[in-house]
Amino acid sequence: MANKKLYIFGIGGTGSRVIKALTMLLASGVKLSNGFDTVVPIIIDPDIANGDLNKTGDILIKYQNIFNEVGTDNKLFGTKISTLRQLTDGNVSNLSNNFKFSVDGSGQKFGESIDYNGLDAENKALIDLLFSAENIEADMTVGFKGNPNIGSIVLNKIVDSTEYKEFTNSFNQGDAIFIISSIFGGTGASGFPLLLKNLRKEDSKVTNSNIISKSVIGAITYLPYFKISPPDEGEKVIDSSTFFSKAKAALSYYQHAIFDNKTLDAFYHLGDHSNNNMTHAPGEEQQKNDAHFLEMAGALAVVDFVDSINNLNHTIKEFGIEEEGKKLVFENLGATTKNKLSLPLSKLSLLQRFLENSMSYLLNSAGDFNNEAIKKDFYSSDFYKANFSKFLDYFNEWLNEMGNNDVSFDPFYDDSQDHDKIMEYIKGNPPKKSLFKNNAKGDIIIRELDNIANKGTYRFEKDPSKFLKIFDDVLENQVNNLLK
Amino acid sequence: MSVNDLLAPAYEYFFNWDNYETLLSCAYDNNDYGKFGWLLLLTPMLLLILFYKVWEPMRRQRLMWLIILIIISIIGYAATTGILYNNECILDELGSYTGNQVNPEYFIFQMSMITVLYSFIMSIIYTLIIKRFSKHNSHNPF
Repeated sequence: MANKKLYIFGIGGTGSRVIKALTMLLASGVKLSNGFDTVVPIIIDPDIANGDLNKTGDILIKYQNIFNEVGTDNKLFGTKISTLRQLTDGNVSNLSNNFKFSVDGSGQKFGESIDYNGLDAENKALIDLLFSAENIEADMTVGFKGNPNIGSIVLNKIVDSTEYKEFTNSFNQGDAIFIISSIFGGTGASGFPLLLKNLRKEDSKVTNSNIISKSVIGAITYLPYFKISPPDEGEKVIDSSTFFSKAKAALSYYQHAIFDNKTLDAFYHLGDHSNNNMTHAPGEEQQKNDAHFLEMAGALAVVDFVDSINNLNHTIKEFGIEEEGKKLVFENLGATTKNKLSLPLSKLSLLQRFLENSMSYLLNSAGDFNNEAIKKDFYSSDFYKANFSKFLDYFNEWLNEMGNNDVSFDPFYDDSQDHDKIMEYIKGNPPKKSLFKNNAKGDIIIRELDNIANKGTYRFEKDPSKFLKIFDDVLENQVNNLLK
Repeated sequence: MSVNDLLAPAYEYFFNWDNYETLLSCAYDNNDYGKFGWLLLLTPMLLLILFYKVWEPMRRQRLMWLIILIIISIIGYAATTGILYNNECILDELGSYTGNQVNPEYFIFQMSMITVLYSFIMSIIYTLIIKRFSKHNSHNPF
């Protein structure tokens, strides 16, 4: 059955970053199988100014703008990403069109959100038992700052939001759900079990509740994979030394609330023991953690979930690599992961490098691609300048951040190689050279672009689509030659 | 009409018949214009086919095209000079040159330069045709 949707709930900062990684994989040509052709990312984060969330939102919008121009039958940018508003054709006026899920009460202090001062003495006493004075005074503008007990109260209200209602309205038989969260923080740890509980609850007042409650649901939960450096002065607001104890407590809760009840069809967990320190940033625009290899592994979990959706039986999976090390390249990954990633990532990276380092050669070329297929004014179009080029910058930044992180995933050499060595970029896969032919030069790409443009295969396509399809064919061929 | 007859006026046009009659007749009688014709027809065609279909340079494409045209011109110049220096009639004129009549060596130079001019024109015409069959130089030089 085709035209199935995968709803992905990304909870908290980790959720945003995994959705970003998934967007990069979809852009590079990783495809979902089993008839899933649309991804609906829904980011749940009370910290609406969170740097990670806003960056992910911008990346998703750029991806959409590119997809809308190039159409569906592409490898690069070939999977549709939709907002809830787009699924409703804009019929729900107060529904945001930016992938973000509004969390009611998140802009207040916790005490205000539960009307602490308005409670009678008995209820106040109960609240005082469950929450510290600091909790009650906590400003939730920047999320729950590692306090899942606060988050569990606030996030329980998400089922009343317009976004949740629209999610249930748009859900069809065959659609599936995937939830991304971290277990060691605040928002993700509290949001995941609550969301799952609400999804599995059959409620006659909720549209399609009978379908949703029986749908296939997968989830990934991140065990600690980074630490937070203490702030420069004052008290620590997020204390990473508590990450493991919080993770253990949450896992224990998951055991009886989720695993024993078999409410999940697939559960993935990921973690790492590297000494990876993130700068302390309690939230808002300061929270921009560098991309990490594990976030890409999480995105692969989404792909694996869809691949194995017909064979799930409350499966629990871990992610592993072939050879452990501090600096990973494609060769260190397991065979399945390597096969899944090496071609698409290498293609998009080569495209980014080529357009950055070889553009002058392309624009000066007297060949068919530059003069017949794609004219020079294409490169000053909105599609190229505002969306495509910017998206590739994000992609490059994402790769660089993964390369600089601990553990490092750095399968490509520095992107500053000039046109004459542009094909020497995959670590461990140098281009073949002979006395008369230098396959390292970017000219080989221009030649192939001209060859395809000369055949006129895509002559009836619009420029953005033609541009992408021709490049896709060339990159596929060239990268396959390198990876042989 | 032979190639010799066809091309003779194209060369003779540049000369004063009264002064150059002997030398021009030598070239005509020896069928040299026919040889120039085949030279102008084949050399640019062969080299431009090699340029646009075999070599297909990717760097400094206009400069490379210009270099090909210069090579075609040099071949034209050298071949014309060679052909005329192998013309016995002109050699006789060279031997009997006293300084009072037209200098046969200067005549050979002039004829060679005319071939260069026609080679250039032929190259432009061929370029317009052959570049259409090129993939990487289809807009070289324009």
